[in-house]
Amino acid sequence: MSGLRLSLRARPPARVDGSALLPEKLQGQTLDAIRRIALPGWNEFHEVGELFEVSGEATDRLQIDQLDGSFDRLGALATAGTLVLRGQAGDLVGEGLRGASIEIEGAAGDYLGCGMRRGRIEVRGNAGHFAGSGRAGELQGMSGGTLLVRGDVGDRAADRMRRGLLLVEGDAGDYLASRMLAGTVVLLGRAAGNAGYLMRRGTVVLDQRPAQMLPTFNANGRQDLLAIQLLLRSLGGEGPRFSRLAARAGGFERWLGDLAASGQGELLVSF
Amino acid sequence: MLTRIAGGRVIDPANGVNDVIRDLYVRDGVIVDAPRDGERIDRTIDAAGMIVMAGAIDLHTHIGGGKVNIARALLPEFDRLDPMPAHGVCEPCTGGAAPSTLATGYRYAAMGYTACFEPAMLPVNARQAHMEMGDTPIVDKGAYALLGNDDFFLQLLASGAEQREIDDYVAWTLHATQAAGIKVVNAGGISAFKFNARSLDVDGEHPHYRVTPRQVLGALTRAIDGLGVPHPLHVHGSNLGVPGNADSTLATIDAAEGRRIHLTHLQFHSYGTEGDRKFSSAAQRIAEKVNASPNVSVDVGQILFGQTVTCSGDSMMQHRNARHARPAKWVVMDIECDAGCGVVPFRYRDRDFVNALQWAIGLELFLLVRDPWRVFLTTDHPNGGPFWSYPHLIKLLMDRSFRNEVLSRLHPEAATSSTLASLEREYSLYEIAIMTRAAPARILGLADRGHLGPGAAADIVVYEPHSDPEVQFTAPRYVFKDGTVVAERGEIKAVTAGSIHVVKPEFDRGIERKLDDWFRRHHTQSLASFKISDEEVCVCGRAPKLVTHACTHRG
Ligand SMILES: [Zn+2]
Repeated sequence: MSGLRLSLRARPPARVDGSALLPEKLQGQTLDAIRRIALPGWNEFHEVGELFEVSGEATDRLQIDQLDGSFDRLGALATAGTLVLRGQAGDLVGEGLRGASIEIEGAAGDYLGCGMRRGRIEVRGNAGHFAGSGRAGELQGMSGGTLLVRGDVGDRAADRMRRGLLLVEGDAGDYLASRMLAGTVVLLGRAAGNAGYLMRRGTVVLDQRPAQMLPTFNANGRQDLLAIQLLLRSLGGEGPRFSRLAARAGGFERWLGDLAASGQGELLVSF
Repeated sequence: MLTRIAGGRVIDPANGVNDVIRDLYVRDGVIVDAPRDGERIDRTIDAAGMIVMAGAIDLHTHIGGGKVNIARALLPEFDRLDPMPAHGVCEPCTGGAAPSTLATGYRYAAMGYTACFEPAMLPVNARQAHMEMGDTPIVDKGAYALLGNDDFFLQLLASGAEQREIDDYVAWTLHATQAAGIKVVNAGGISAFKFNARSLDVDGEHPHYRVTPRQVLGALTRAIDGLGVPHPLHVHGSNLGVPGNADSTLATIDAAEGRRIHLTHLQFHSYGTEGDRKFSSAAQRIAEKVNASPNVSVDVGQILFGQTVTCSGDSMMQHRNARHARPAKWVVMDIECDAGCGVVPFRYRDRDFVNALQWAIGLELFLLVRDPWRVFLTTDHPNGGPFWSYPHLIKLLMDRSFRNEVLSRLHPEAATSSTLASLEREYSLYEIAIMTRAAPARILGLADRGHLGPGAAADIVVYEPHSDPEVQFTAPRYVFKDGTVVAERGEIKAVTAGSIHVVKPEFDRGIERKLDDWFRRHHTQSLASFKISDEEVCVCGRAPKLVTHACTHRG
């Protein structure tokens, strides 16, 4: 396998900010130079060479193995290249992503892809809370790109989402798409309570009836919307479960809300 | 231990010393006379060719109290953009639009500032403010308690109470809150806002109490003078930020009737209504009046371009400004009926006509007010910009060509709507030392700060001279705080704890009978627990020393 490879030796003594480990920043550097890069921990810095076995060649592809959840902000602000993360990927992976591709062959922590603007993140396992949302204080969540989770997402996924695409094969926790501003969410599993809470605009496609429908959503009848057909057809490449949804979707129950906010959002529930 | 700071070019305006090469001696944190022959000198710091000044004093910077904490909570996204990882003796913290207490102490000290005064301590928030200031390392602290919008005071005034009783209440507040002075914000206006008024000019009547800001200012300036408090009444005027407010500012000066008054962030109060955009500089009119009124001192509240957050007790005006919030989120709230609080994030843009002219007006005031003992260097941190932009501001004052070069890059009408381009004045190092050291110490009554004479606290800054004042003032070679080297070349070397500065004028404690009844009826706590004792303020404020300054000012 080409590219640079970092393999975690042992669990670091505290959480570490891994945002310096970007393919675009490491590309072309010698392995020794990479080993000397200091990553900020809680009260001290840790050199890459102390934390990881470093091998391969620094190209536009970086793979990090044996991750144990102690590294945060991996791939944050990345603009180019491919980052492959194996194991438990920590919080804030792909924060503010601007164009690279991140593949997580494992699970991700909280705030996956929060504030991402472009690019693509794909997780084979589950993601924690606030996937595709924004961090505390931010007025917007993710505003572009594609975030695909094959497993489940926790609470508050797509909170304040502004634009872009969140695809989830598994279930979603409470408050899916809360305060959503715009953008598109497709959920194949089941949403727990309060889906669409205070959403202003945006589209949430639910392949299963959610656990609860908020009383501030109005039923808009059964609809067969061409735009949604086209959207779902465009997802055919994201795996067999999405192409099956596209093939069988005859129409949706459309719910408009949240009327407690501006009420221009829509929940589209398969039937 | 005796330390000699050898051979520096000493600039010490309080003692009339201008660029004289001499040695300074420090023992036990205090500047002392030259030792007799044969006395052992334990340590010599070579300051040959360097400039030596007293530690700088910021007399108006929002570093503690409810509003600053609200700003911190409101804007975590800017903290994340300005991380300060653990480094040397420094703990990890964040800067940002509303910096953490640690960042505040570190950055002030690294820049050669050794004392900071929080100008808006709400009495009901005093405990919180002192704890935040206590969490701010290295620098000395003090605070001005807010009066003039609280119901107890307004009732006294409305019921025609004798001045003596108002004096007692003012003195009691200084004691109870461990304050170094009294500030009034939009006199009576914050209270009027709660009665649905949206503006209150100097002679406007409070809708409920029927008193005017002029009466509030009169009573409070009389009290400050009567009690002999060294710092004049600190006044945030009426109609902050409103075009045409220069008239209110001139009326405010008149309301003092010749008694001492300090007008804070004057830049925000020096606006006219001329021109197509009905917004113009009134700096010339205001500066003329200040020059002609020896009882008046001012600080500028210079704005500098970029993201910041405005934190003010003036909920009336912050409510008006909220529509300009960037990012679009803000807080305007009441705090236990004591006054108000408004936090509005803001981004000053150099291509914006209003912001560019505000920038020019601030500099006009600096250059047109002639007496450096009566005009102070502030950005009203963080309202006009962060305090760490002071070196840049000093360069704007000292270097006319730099100033005009910056002016030429701004919205073009800033130059045509102000006199700035024609002002030739350049501040000297001596004048900078006056306005940032000697004058603030004098106007705060700090006898042992702001100068380098024997008996002064050894708060000393040693600068490597540089042709660019911004470079020189950003990272001094050595900063001593109470004799300890706390910073070298911008890097913190020791984290010490600063003292708290207070005043405690004498008064008739009989006022407590009336106050006790008031607290029982209206407050959420008893009078006894409202008051902060000397011991508590030192423990919670982590201060090794409470420095009480004499209230002997007369006339
Ligand atoms: Zn202020």
